[in-house]
Amino acid sequence: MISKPELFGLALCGGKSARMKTPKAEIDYHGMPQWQHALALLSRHCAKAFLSVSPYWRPADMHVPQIPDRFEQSFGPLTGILSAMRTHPSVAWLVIGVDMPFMDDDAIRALIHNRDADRLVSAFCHVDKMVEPLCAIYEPSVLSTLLEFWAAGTHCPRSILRTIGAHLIVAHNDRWLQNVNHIEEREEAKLSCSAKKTVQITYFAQLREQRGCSSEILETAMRSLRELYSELQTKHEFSLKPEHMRVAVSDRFVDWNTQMQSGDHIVFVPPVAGG
Amino acid sequence: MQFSVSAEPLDCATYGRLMINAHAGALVSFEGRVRSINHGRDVVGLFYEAHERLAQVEFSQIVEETKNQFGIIDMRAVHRVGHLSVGESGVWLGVLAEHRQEAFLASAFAMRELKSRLPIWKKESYADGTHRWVDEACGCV
Repeated sequence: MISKPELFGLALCGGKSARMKTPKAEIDYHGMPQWQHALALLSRHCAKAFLSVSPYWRPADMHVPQIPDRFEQSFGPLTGILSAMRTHPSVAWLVIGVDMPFMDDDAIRALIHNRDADRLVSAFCHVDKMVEPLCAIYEPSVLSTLLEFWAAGTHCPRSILRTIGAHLIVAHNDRWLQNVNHIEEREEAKLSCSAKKTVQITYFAQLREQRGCSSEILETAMRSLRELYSELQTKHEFSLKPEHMRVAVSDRFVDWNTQMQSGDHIVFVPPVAGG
Repeated sequence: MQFSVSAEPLDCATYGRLMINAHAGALVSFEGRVRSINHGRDVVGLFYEAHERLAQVEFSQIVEETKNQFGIIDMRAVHRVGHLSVGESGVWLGVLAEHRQEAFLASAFAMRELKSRLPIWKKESYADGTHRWVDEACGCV
């Protein structure tokens, strides 16, 4: 079996942000500018991660990994994607737009898990099958095709992906692909992202031993129980994976994708062995 | 309460006497004890911990399922927590039914469900000084 090309991450930050007044890359949804959040997100899942930058926007710190547009004329996101592919032509690129504040680890994992490296592009699509070119994996083999479209004057990534027939992956969480273009949308998204919840967690069995305590109250900006566990697992080096556990909130077993509320009493349930 | 945990040794002789119903012609009870060998390893003792409230909610669910499937009258269980030595009782289950057939079948079913679903954890201690949290689902009972 031929192994899949290595995966690099690209956060598209070079847009004009005309309707937003401030650059989309600098909006703070998660306690840091969104470019920083997107870069960290990609770094957790890709071998390397870069910002795609343009004359319209670049980070103040020149040491941030970035790929400037390499074309004389800029035609939106395709310019950034092609610039990255030309800079590193042998890798596949996981591309996300910086204007999708709800993009999270689960989304990236789902995209990578469902990637079909034999196709030119694997892309998320909405439930109605509308393809989302700015949350997709571009295989190295697609470069020549993209350049042909570019030369022929087609610069819209969505219509290109429709024409070439990308491998579609339905985003089961419709917020992932929600992009924020207007000031009103931005304020609503900020509230929804930054709302910190105070939750109580009780640990049992090996989790209690690995955590070193049986209960804690903490403030989290994570939304789902899965995200919270993932954060704690990294922080405390928990050996158990969520697929081997159940989770309960306020004395009821619930789904891992359940969104947390302030005041929740959460119990991660390691493999049981009563009787 | 249909389900409770006990930090004290179980008093298995009395639990069945507390289950009274004039329609019940059968009480089948099961008592699980700590045995000295598990999967070929010498067990010297074990430690149980439980999330009692969540276990009560889940047990009620199992009672409902068992009633629906076997038509039993009532079912109760007590689970031990803390450190147990070989030979001590870890769990008691009592099933009350009109006739013995459904009581036997229901108790076997309920024990299976209880072992795989109740939020109760078991750490075994072995003669060689090692310990291990047991995972029922992976077959290392």
